[in-house]
Amino acid sequence: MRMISRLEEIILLSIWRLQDDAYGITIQEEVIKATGKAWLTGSIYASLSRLLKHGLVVSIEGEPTAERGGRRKIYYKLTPEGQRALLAVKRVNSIIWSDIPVFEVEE
Amino acid sequence: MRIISPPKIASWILERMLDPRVRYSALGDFEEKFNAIANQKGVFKARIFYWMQIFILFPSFIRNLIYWSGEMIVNYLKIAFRNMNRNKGYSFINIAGLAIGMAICILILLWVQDELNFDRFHENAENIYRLNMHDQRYGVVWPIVSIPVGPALKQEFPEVMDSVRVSDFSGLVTREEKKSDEIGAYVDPSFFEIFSFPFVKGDSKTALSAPSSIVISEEMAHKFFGTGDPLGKNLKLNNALDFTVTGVIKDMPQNSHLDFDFLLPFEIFEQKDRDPSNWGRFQIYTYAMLQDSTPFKDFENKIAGLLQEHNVREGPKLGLEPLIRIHLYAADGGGDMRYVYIFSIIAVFILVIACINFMNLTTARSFTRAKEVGMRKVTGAKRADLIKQFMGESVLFSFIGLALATVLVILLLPAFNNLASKQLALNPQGNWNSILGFAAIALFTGLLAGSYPALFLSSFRPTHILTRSFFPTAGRAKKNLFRKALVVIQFSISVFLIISTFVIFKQIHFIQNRNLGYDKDHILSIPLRGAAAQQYEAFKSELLRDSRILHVTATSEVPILIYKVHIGYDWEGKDPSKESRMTEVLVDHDFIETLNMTVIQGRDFSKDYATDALEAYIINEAAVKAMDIESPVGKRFSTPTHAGMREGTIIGVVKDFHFRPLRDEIDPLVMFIGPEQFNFLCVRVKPDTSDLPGIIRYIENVWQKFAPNFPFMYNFFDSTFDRLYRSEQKTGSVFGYFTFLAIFISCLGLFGLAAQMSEMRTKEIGIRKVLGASVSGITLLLSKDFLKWVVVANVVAWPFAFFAMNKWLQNFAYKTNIGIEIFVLSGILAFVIALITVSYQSIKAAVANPVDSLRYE
Repeated sequence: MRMISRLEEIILLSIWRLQDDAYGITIQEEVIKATGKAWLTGSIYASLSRLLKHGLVVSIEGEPTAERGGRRKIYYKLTPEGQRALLAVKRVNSIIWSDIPVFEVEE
Repeated sequence: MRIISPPKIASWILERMLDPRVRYSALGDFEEKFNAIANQKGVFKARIFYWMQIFILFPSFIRNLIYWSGEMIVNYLKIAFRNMNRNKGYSFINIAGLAIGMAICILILLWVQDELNFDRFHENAENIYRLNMHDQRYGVVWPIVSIPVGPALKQEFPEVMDSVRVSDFSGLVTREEKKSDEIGAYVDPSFFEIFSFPFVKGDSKTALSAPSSIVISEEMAHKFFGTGDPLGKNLKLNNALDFTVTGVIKDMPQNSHLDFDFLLPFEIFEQKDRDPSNWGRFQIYTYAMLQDSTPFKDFENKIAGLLQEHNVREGPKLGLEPLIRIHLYAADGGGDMRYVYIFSIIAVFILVIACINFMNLTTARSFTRAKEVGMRKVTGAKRADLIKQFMGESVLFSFIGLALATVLVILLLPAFNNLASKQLALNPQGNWNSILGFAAIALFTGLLAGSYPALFLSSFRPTHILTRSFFPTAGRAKKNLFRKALVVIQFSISVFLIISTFVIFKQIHFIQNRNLGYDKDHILSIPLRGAAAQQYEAFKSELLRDSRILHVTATSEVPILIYKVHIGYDWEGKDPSKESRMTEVLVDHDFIETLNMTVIQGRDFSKDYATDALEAYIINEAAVKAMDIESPVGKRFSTPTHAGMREGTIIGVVKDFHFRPLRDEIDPLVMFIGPEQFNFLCVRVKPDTSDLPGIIRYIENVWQKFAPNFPFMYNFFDSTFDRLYRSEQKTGSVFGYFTFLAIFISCLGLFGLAAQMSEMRTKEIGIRKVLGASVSGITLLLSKDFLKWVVVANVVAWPFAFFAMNKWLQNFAYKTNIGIEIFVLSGILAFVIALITVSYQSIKAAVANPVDSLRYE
């Protein structure tokens, strides 16, 4: 299985955290909150398209709302594949983070 | 919470920039954020945020655009090649038609380019002018002036940077055993300053400063000196004068109206002339180079009266002809702007025929692409996308055609050069203009040919195509008026060209078989030179000793081309207010007899009258008319000569004969005896001799006895005569070839269309056959449609062809009539060709077994 990228990992986790409220803006806000960097809408959508294509997320159309100019929200949900990919990353992380010498860097 | 909408323009732009897959959700996101910002920080900030998105998205938008159009182009190409592959026959017909059309276009373009670039290779081409004189009395322009004009222009007018006098002649050049006739000219040393003829050896500044110097062409240097160095060596001219080679120039290019093999200092000509300071003796060419951007019309007015100022009585006006116009516009230029236009139009015609082919075949086969159009539309292609696709496809076809056309041009160029007597070449290196020109032709062809099919194909409605109700039927195809019109145009052009070719050949035939008023067969003309001229009588009697030689006579001009026009004749009963302009020719006693002319009044020259040699005149019928006198025989007549008037009597009138090409009317002509100007010998040989080479050998042997220093040259009258009409012959053959190709391309298209038609009507034909239709009935049914169009095309083409060919025939004083039979013949020819083309397909469809055509499903 293909290893997902860091951004994809963050996006997948954000979707999981947001549960039923994961759509473009909320995901972008979550990513910005987690990384502290100003991610562009385009980058988020590019990653989302890629995740969609690989079947790690699915998209669900919501109801149209007035504040969006009558357009529907597109909600994203993790698929079992998505969850599996996240777990795989988590496992890799815990393996590579264990048993390493202590290091100190000023953040 | 108040809801406001973001700026309309910005959302319109954003909508178009966003990737279609996320377009609406992203747009929704932007609007939601816009509202959030508007509520928290104010509408202004929100607007700024919204507009900013456009700039932020820009890079990825561009990236996507390139990516997707690249992706689509790959797809279009793939589909195009698959289609080409699937219908090899049609693709071949399409591409071949385009290739032939473009090949002809390129050939004509090369020819036109060459014609238009005549004399333009000189660095100063734009500033060089040739002087001419306007003889207002006769409304003629001669490109010759008198000797003092050139130097005077340079001295008196600051606008003239330099001037050069040129007098051309042909002479016998010898060196030891080698001898040959070459065309040369006396020129001022400034010749090389004004014209750009590069030196291979020697110095252009000093080459012609010594009076005994000669500058020769590379070709001549090779002829006389082989690989050796010619500089400083001697050459003899006309067995008399010695010249030292002081320079070798590159051969004068084929597209130069000046074409000499050697050049001599003008000084010599001036010294030889008996009155070089006379302003009234017009005999040489003069060219002037003006300062940059001199308004030449103003300058022309300034010099117009120069001759009168120098006391030339009734002096003609001086004028200027730009160097670059000489070839195509001047009377002696050899080219003709009209032919440049005519052939350009033919090129366009043939290209149009090829494009029509493409349009017809592509639209006829459109149903094979209908499903594809439907699918593309359903998956979101807009009409503009489809138009782009099909236009692109036809441009692709035309570029493949261009590649084939280039190969064709390379193969055809030698033959074409031969036909057009040119040395055209396809030289891609450094010639970006023509490469761009060819690409432009291909692009234009592609766009023109693709325009209608693209509009037609892209108009299909997916709901029609993708339901089963869409079936191409003969009825649908028949209804297509536009396509019928195209076929009519195509065949009209073909019929037009056929008629033109017929008329041209009829005129040539007419000229060659017209009664000229003399017998041109079995007569040789030999230029008289050296002792052969001085001892003419002895030479003549020596020749006549052979019984195979019937007559020998001499003249001052070849009787086919007499151009010696003079004024100042006088006769008994002349109206003094009228100008007397006549052509004269000096002949021997037996001239009329030798050429088998008819004397209709009075008598022929005769040795029995001693006075004939001194004062007898014979005139032609046209002269009688022009002189406006009754019974001319016995009237007093006199001609102007260097030694004053030659007084005499008219002894006879000869029946009009054509002494010039049949483009011109027969002019008044006067003949008299003048041995001092015998330049040509005319020899009539026995018509039934089989041993012509033997006779010529005999004449040559006699020639060697009299004039061994001059090469023996001879021409048959009839071949000289044929050469006169070579330009008409050439136009005729070129027209013939183009017509053939135009018809060929049209037939390719018709063949394809017919195949298409019968394919579409397979079922109909099957059913008809089952119900008892005969093979001939079905063949007729299928062919009828096409043949109807060809008939219409004939009717359309006739008036145009009549008008155009009538115009062309105006060039000739003696012309054939166009005649209804040419139209009928052309019509029948086009009809038969079309019938043969169509009937192959029709018969094939008609004899097919209905079981096969009705069996499917």
